[in-house]
Amino acid sequence: MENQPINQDQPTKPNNYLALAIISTILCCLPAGIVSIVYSTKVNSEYFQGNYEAAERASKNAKTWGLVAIGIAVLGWIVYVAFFGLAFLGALGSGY
Amino acid sequence: MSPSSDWRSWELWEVAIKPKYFLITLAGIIILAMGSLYVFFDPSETAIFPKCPFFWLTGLYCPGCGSQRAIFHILQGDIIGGIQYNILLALLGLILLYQLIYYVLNNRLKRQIRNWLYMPMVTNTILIVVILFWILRNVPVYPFSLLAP
Repeated sequence: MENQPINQDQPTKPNNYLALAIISTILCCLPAGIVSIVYSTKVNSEYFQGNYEAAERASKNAKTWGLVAIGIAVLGWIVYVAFFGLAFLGALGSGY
Repeated sequence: MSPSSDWRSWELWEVAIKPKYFLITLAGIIILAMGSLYVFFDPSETAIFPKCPFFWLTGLYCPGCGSQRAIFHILQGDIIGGIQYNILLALLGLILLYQLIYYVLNNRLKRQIRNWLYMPMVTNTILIVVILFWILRNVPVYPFSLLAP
């Protein structure tokens, strides 16, 4: 079961973006990271069932959800730090 | 400088200005700039970093809670202390290490090793572990309270 011979006719495995999905789960407090992990697992299971197109689609979804989650988190972080961080540092600087 | 090295550096430049690599470089610079703040400021003592919006809305920890404090402690050199804030960072570290070793073995040393991360059982387990981690770290009873940030 686990050690099936590799069939030469199989298309190449699509990237499952697992590391990206976990990074987006850890860095973003949004369920988007979890969605990315779900698609990441789907890439593997669809591929092993022979649904190569579905695996390819899941791969794209895993990448998109992961990148969008990280993008939103980074953007939110920058806006937050720009507002509150600079105010805080300004207060420090003026001897508060 | 020989002509061939001139040509190589030109090719490197060509690669560097491709949109994909430009974006990767830009992302790297942003991450370094963001990370440098965590070298100097403790997220549990300063108010400059955002709090988790999921925790703020629901009062529950999300799978990412504690990662800012964890990053701060890890950057201070206290890796074990940092990971205690969010054990998923250890999982991420292991996966990145595995990817690195796998890349070196298969692409550089031309071995033909199966990538475990592409086995459905492994990714399914990771998904279940992450969801269990999310639930259990919200249980305020002893062995599970260790998972809380």
